[in-house]
Amino acid sequence: MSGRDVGPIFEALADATRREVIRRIADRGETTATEIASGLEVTRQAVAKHLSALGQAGLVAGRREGREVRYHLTPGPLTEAMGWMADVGAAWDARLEALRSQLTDGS
Amino acid sequence: MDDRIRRRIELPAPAERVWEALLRPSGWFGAEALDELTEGGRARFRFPDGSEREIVVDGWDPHRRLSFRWMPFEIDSSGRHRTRTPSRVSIELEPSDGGTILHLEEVSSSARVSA
Repeated sequence: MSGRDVGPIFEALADATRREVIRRIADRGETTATEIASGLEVTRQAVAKHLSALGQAGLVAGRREGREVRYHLTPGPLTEAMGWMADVGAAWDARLEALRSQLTDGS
Repeated sequence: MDDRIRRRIELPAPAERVWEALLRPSGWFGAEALDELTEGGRARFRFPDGSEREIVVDGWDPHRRLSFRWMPFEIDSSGRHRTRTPSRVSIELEPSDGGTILHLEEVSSSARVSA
């Protein structure tokens, strides 16, 4: 991870609940704080705080869709730190989008 | 520990066309299939960096389900064998109003020793 300050990343990942939040986002590709909280025994507010910390560490990003914010993993630091799930998830996101494009073009 | 990812996407084509596209993955897979995908067969993939990796197709239900396992090694771009995490990919096709919903799951089995 040359050239990148890894301190905030490992600090963000030092919390077991935050690691679980990351797993759930990786599992679904993109999800909301409400969906994450419903599977865990923490409040939506607590999840939102974790998502904020993960965002500040550059591990997740959100996009607003209507009244919700949908979160996804951002590649790079997470690829090194968590490895398999981020790599494979990102690979399939690209593949499935390419497959959809190919089928939309009618080829 | 098993790690798992799941994805789901709606594709604008009937299941028969999606199945054909699954069996001819070079155009969308991000790697070139060097062998045809067949029931119970092996197929090698060559990635853009020159590395090659192999799958074994272990699930085959035309237009409905395809599954395969990644072998736990690759040949890297300099021709050396390296270990890779073995994993299994399951794809299911479900007809929908818009075409076909593709459900995908990939499960790694890196650290588990089966009982």
